[in-house]
Amino acid sequence: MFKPEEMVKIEVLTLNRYKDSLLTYLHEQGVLEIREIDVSLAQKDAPNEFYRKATSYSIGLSRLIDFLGNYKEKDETGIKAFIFPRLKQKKRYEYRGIEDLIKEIEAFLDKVEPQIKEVEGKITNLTSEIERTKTEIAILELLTALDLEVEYLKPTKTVEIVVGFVERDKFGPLIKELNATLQNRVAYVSKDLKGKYLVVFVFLKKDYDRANPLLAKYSLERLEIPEVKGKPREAIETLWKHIEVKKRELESAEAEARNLAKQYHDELVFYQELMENEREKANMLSNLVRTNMTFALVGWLPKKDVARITEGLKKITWGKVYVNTKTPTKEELDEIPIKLKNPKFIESFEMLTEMFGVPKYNELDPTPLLAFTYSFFFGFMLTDFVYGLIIAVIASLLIKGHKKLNDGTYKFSNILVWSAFFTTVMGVLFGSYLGDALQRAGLNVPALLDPMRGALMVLGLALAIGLIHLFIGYTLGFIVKFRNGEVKDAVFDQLSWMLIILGVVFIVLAMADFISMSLGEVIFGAGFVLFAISQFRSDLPLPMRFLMTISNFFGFIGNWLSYARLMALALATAGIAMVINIIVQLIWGIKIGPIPLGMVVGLVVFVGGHIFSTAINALGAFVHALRLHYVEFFGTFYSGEGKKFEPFKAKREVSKLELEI
Amino acid sequence: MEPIVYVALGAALAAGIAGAASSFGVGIAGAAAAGAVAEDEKNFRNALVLQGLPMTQSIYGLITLFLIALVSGILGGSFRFAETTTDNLIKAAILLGAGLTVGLTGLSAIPQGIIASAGIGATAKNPKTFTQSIIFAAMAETMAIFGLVGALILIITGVGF
Repeated sequence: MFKPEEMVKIEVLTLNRYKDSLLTYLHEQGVLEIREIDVSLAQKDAPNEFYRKATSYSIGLSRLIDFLGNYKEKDETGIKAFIFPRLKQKKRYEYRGIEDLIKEIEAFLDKVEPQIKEVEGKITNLTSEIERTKTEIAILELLTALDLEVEYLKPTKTVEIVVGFVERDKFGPLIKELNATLQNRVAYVSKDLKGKYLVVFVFLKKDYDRANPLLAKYSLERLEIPEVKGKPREAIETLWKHIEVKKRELESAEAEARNLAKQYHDELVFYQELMENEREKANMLSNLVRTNMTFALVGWLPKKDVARITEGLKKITWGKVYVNTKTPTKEELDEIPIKLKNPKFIESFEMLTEMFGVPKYNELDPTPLLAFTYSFFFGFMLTDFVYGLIIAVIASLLIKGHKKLNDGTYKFSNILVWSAFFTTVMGVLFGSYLGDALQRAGLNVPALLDPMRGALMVLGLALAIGLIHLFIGYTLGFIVKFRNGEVKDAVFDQLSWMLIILGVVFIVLAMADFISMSLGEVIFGAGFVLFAISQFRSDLPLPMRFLMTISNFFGFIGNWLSYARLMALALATAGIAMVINIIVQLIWGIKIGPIPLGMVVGLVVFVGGHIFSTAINALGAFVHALRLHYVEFFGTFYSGEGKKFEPFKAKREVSKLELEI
Repeated sequence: MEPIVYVALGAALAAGIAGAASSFGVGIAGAAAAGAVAEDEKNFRNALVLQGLPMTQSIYGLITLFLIALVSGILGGSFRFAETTTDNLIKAAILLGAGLTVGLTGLSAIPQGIIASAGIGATAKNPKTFTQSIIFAAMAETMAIFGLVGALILIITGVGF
């Protein structure tokens, strides 16, 4: 808690012949982040022929998977599948080196790829033929207006025939100009169709070069005459029959594809995952250096894993390995990857910290604090017992369903459960059960504070919470900087604000006659002087420093007042719930004859309205609680400029690698 | 003017301006959402959440409308400020001010819609930016929240139940 996982730097040097199994071992363990070695003595490693093959097979396999995926039995969708997703079976694979694996995949692809490619080709051909025939039919439908044998519209050796559409107002001039240019050696048939003229031009082949520019000039839309026999209507009928035949063929081809998908899809996915992991190993090679006989790698790993990994490396290389670990020095601070470390029950909140950025190695991990304040703020803004229950139930179901997957949904639901807990607590304190539903029904509900009537009190509470929150932030920043030896920064950037906040608190207490005014004024003054000095330390021109002092001070006030949103959103929840309850109350009594229509409609509005209200208010609470942390709270002390720990780790969804050690 | 005019104007402007601004905001975001869904249907859920963000201003307006109607007695009973006394005029004018505050700060729904529409585009390209996009859009809502805080204080302490 509060400190990131302790990291050590590791150096490994061993013989080239162990490279494959050693990399695979580290890849499966997934606890070491490999870094590039900067050594001029040895050369960088590069992928060999097998790794290059792995890359190309990985792409080829994913193409086959894409195709078969369209014909696979659809996975379940819907709410049930969302809450309780089915776990994928992991198939075992005994790893005996990349050469064997590549050979196995080649054998598999030799068997499967031609079959899939054949069906794929068939389906593509059939679909494009059906499409083409449909366009031909569309053209023939237009030609039915002429009722001519389609064959007659085909050009012959000496005669050119052009069929097309021309705008009505361009038709006259076109004919005129054609006649003039070709000295009347042109015949045409025309038909008025949908505001345009369908025209068949006939002229001599030798005149074509002169006629064509004119046709283009009057923007004639040409029609491709299909290769069919008979009148258009008869031809259309034949073509439809042709389409029917092709459709049946397509269906059988698709059945074949479905069959193949059933047979091979999962296997393809399995092999693709194996190849993808080999590809990742290949990409990592450029970070290693090698000589003729040996290779070396450096990286970072958590201190707690050192013993286990060293043991594993020794086993894999039969002891022929040099392993050196060292704790990081001060110069390496910016290089150390950060892995957050927190107890299980608040681990999920690391997601929120990581979204902003992880701390530097010598900084503080705000997750434990954030876990508490975030859920509390969420609860404060939602403030309703029943809304909290609804969220808790949904989140618990999701936790149950996603526990084994340990995915984003699982973490998010864990955050929601904590938030829902505070929501119910705040709901009880504020006496809010579906807003003021119980009160409106005439029940007496015990409450510490009515948010609507005691709005000022809630505002005061929100601002007090904000001040405490900011104070904690500045204090944490002060401690971290002090410990890292940046005393000056700690005093000017953090202590100044701590004193200002304390001063404000004492002044408020003095107003309530608890203590004397002067104490608060002195502390506030001291804080303000420190703050002003900190602003004047910058190298801006003097007038700018004045302006910055003023603007930064009011920036602080703005940050503080921003916590007023706690009150506003709490009241917004109460307000929306109240609006729904009032509407239901208004329509409850409506009756048409003996039918209590108002009750039926009222119930629908009541349930639907409150579900909507839960959703929209929870969204607001989620977003604004996060914002208060990212913008206001983190602004007081947190940089989030650390480098996240990205271990060299295999992705295993459908496969499980077994490595002989 | 009669107090009822102030009160009615306050309620109408709060819900009216904020509601109109919200519909602009939702409209802007909705146009982007339609494009994102056309690209890939998987974008629907994220786009819908982002599109809904500019809607909150209209809710703040609605809450203000109901609160004004409640404290002035329009809802549930008789109008409290019927007589044209100075005190009634002052309270009615306060309600107008409160309503106008929420209505005008509700205009932040329009820029919020613009931010949300950019966020929808960003999320379609890279789903990991979803939460960040929401936060960006939520920044614009701050002003509306401040407006609501001010109005609630005005209504509840200036007029009271």
